[in-house]
Amino acid sequence: MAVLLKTAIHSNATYMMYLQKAIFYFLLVILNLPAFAQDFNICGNVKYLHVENLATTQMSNYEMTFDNVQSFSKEVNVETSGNIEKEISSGKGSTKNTEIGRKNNTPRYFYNNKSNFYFKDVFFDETMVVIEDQYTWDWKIDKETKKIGQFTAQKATVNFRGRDYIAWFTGEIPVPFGPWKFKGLPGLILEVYDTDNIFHISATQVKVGKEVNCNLLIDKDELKTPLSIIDYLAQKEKLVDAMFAQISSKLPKGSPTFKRDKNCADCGQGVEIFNE
Amino acid sequence: MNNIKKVLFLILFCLSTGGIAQTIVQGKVMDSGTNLPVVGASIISLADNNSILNYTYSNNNGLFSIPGAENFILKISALGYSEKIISVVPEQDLEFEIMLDPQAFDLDEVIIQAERPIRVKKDTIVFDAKAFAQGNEQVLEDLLKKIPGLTIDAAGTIKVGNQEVEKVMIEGDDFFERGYKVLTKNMPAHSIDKVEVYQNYSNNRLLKGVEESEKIALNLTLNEDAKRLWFGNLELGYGLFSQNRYGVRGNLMNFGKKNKYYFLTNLNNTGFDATGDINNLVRPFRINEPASIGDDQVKNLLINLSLNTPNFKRSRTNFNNAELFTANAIFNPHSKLKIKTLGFLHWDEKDFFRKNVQNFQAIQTPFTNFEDYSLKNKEQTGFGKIDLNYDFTMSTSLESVTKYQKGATNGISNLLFNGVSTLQELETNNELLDQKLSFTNRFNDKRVFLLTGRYIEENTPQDYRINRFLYENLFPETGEINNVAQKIQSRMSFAGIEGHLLDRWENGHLFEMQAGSQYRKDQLNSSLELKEGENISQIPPDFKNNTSYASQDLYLKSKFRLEMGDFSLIGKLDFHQLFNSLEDEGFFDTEDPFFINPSLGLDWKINSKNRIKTTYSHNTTNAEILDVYNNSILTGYRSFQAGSGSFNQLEASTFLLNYELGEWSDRFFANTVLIYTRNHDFFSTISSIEPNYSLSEKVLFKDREYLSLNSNIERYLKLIGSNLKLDIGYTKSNYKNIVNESELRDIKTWNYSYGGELRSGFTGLFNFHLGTKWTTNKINTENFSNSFTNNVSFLDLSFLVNEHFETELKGERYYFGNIQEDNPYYFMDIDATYNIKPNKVSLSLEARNLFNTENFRNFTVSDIGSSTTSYRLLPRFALLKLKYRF
Repeated sequence: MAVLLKTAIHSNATYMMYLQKAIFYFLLVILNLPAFAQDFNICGNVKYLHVENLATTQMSNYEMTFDNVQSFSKEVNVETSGNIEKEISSGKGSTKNTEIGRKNNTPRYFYNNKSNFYFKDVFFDETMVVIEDQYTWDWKIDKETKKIGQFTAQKATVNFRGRDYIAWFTGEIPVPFGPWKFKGLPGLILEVYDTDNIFHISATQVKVGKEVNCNLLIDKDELKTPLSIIDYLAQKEKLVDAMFAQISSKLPKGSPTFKRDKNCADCGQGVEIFNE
Repeated sequence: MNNIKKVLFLILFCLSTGGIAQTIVQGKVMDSGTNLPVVGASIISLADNNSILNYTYSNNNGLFSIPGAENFILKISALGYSEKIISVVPEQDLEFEIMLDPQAFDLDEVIIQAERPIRVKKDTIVFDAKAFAQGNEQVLEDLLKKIPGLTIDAAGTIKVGNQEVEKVMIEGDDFFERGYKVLTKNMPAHSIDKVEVYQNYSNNRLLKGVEESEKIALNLTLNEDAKRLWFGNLELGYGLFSQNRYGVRGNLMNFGKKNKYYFLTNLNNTGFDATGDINNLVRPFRINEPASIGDDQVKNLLINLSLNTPNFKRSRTNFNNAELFTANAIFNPHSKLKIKTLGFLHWDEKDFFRKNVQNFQAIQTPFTNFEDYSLKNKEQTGFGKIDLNYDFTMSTSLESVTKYQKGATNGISNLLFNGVSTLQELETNNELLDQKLSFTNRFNDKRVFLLTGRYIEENTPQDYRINRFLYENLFPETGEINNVAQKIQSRMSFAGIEGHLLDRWENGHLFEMQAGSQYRKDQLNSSLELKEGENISQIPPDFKNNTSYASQDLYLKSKFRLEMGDFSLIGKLDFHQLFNSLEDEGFFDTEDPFFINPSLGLDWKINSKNRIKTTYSHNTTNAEILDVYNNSILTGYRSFQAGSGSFNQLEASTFLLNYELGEWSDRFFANTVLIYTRNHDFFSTISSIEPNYSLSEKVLFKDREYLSLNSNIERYLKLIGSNLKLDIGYTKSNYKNIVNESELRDIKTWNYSYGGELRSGFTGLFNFHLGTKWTTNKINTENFSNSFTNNVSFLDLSFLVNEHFETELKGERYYFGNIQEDNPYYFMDIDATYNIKPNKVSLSLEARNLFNTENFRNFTVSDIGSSTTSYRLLPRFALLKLKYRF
């Protein structure tokens, strides 16, 4: 409710709007009440390491907090990086390589409240909050098990946006949550990777119990006007085009226009292949 | 879709069996203590064999429903409750009320040592070509486009992430270095088995991980049928509406696992420098790489029949007829031995035309010289190189590089000098032998030692003849002399050995130390012959040299880098002990100077937007052969030059300051560079200038200064999608000389420049780039000063109509402040390409000098006067080119 009041006070909309919103949220809160009516609320905390091998290896760390009904994974230890500029001289002159760093240290996150899935992405330093499609996770559960740390983990496979993934979940922690966008297995996902090994996530630390702080620290205001997946992809395209335009216009005389080859199969360098 | 399928399947399944109807088990999960629903409890149905049949989670009211089966177990669990297992008999139990007992669930921190699949080896990523190929790939480039993380831009540049690859190797072998597009645009894709990406690549495999390297290289492994494939391309061009312009270029290659072959040929008369295609192959560029001893040894020619062109596109004045053929091969006869050979033959016939009016104003009796100059230069060069690489063990290897070059240049120049016809002839021969041996030993992960030896021998005799005698004033009692000749014997020998230790410390810092000895000996013999017809009548002794100059340099070089937060300090300290000896006719002298060359650099990253780099260095350099010979040598038809006749070391201090505001890829970026050099000693000349000749002698003066300040500012204008650049520069320098028995003249020069550019970055079919720059030059001595302002502007328009057709228009405008007639000059070139079958057949048009400008005139000033030179240009032509890949 505190969040709601704050919105009402700071908003410039009409009184009617407040009222409608207030009623709407109030209803939501009431509906959700039973979840918090337990006299104890056990939460868990998992640290995940994400590794992306798209020719160059990129690693990021996430920390996921969950309770019975929702999970919130947030990027941690986000380091801003300046541009890395390398000048390489060769026989035919010198080449300037600029690796565009991340100056926006807003953490990315994934928020799953079972009815909806939101994520925040930082792309070319622009922050975007997106609501995911209602994607059906058609998991195939395999009999194979293995030990991950002290947990017995069971294998499950799924095809998600053009890639085949293998996940290892443990029924010992009976929640349908997992790292990144993965969800919907009968237990916490401890490890996921795709069959090409481009993308690999593993839990590095798991903690569950009353000791764990249940505060998910989500800015619910951000979730009010999320982009749809289609708008998000369009916005990304726009940002890439803008970057190409800017770099292209900075080139010295004689160098050909820096053209973007939109026909190439993996130009976006994303893990998800949306057009499949 | 899947769900519908499932439902359909279920319906069909029910219909076909007609037996057990699909049952749905429903239930409610509640807390046994509070009787409140448990939200998010996991409900799993298990078969007898314990395999999971179905699973679900309870909703906000604790309710769930799960498909049933014949006999199964329900397992209900939730965080904070003890697990409950219920055996279900479907026909009876269709609704459940499940009470879960609260139970403390505390899991202390569990740290998981995750095992990761070992597909990514350190610094190497391997892609299986078959897995990414879709079958429609024609050439290698098409295949590489499909590999995740590799981007190939429209021009064919391959990047990994943001960085361009250093080279594309085939089975570890490489011909092309940065010129890899010849390979990637022609090699058939289906012969590739695997693509490997090497990060932090080192050219010498034993230096990997020790030397600083951010290079990335690609390596392709081949499948068995590759070696039977010959492939390449052919480009044929012929001039339209112009007489006999042509250009031919062909590439032919074959790559097997063991042996590889590459042939290239280029024939043209369009002003294109054919050797540009093979520079990479002949002299692979290795900056700051270990084992490069002797790379800095150059031998300069004394006489050059002036092919110098102004600051202008060289191809416009290059009337050439070039033929180039190269053959390259790599053999791997043994897993430890690699042999790489390269050979080329190059012929060129170059014509060059120039008219020059030179005003000598700054001397006591001013005069003007008129010159109408034409030159025909015939060049022939043969070059061979053998590279041998032998790996003794995993940690030791030996490399041998042998080069041999033989060439001859024959120049005949027809000259009208002040209205009188003069003919000069120059024959230059060149023979070079270069042998390098380099042994690398890697002691451990962090430490490598290289021992390199090199021997170079270069011989460049020159034979110079002029059919007139212009120097009566210099040699008064000469009677019937009517022509002159000069023979120069010039030989250089170099031998060097160097040990180089690279040690990467625990903290990641690289410590480097080099110790070595270099010996260079130059032999220079010249004699001027004054002739009557074919008979030598005089060999003036003051115009004869018999110089032998040897210099041995024992040195120790060290380098370090210290990083302290935002500061980093780069220090260099070089110690040199020289042993010089100079011998001339009747003269022998030695000296053994010792000097230290220190350099200190500081990088300070003030914050993410501001960065300062400074360097201070003090340098002592030893004089070279062309500085130390004693008597005059004829270096052009009207100039004699003499060296200083003694040993010299020159001292200079340099200070550099670079300030960057913003980063290059930001919308706003500014960069300022300041360079100040003080030459404590410098070579200048004492000269006497007459209309028919000039005589100058090198002397050492003290204190010369040079100051340069350059700033450029960039701003990306988002509204018009274009980048604006402003450029300003200022240079000031001074020097001293003596002309025609003057006092010591103090000469000051200034140069100011300012200009701007605007370039678009539109993603559509059209782009432009326009710019202009003004340059003001000013020179001042006691009795003479001159200044002028020139302007150069350009406009480039490019149209990318579709994937088949693109065209580019390039316009240039030159304005010279001190020239009255034929001013300004306009040039226009057009390039258009039509891809009939992309990546297979294309037709292109190269049109040059569309306004058919015949001459290009420019104006220069010096401390003795000014000169106007006009160069003849290649007339308008349009070359139609057909390019075919086979």
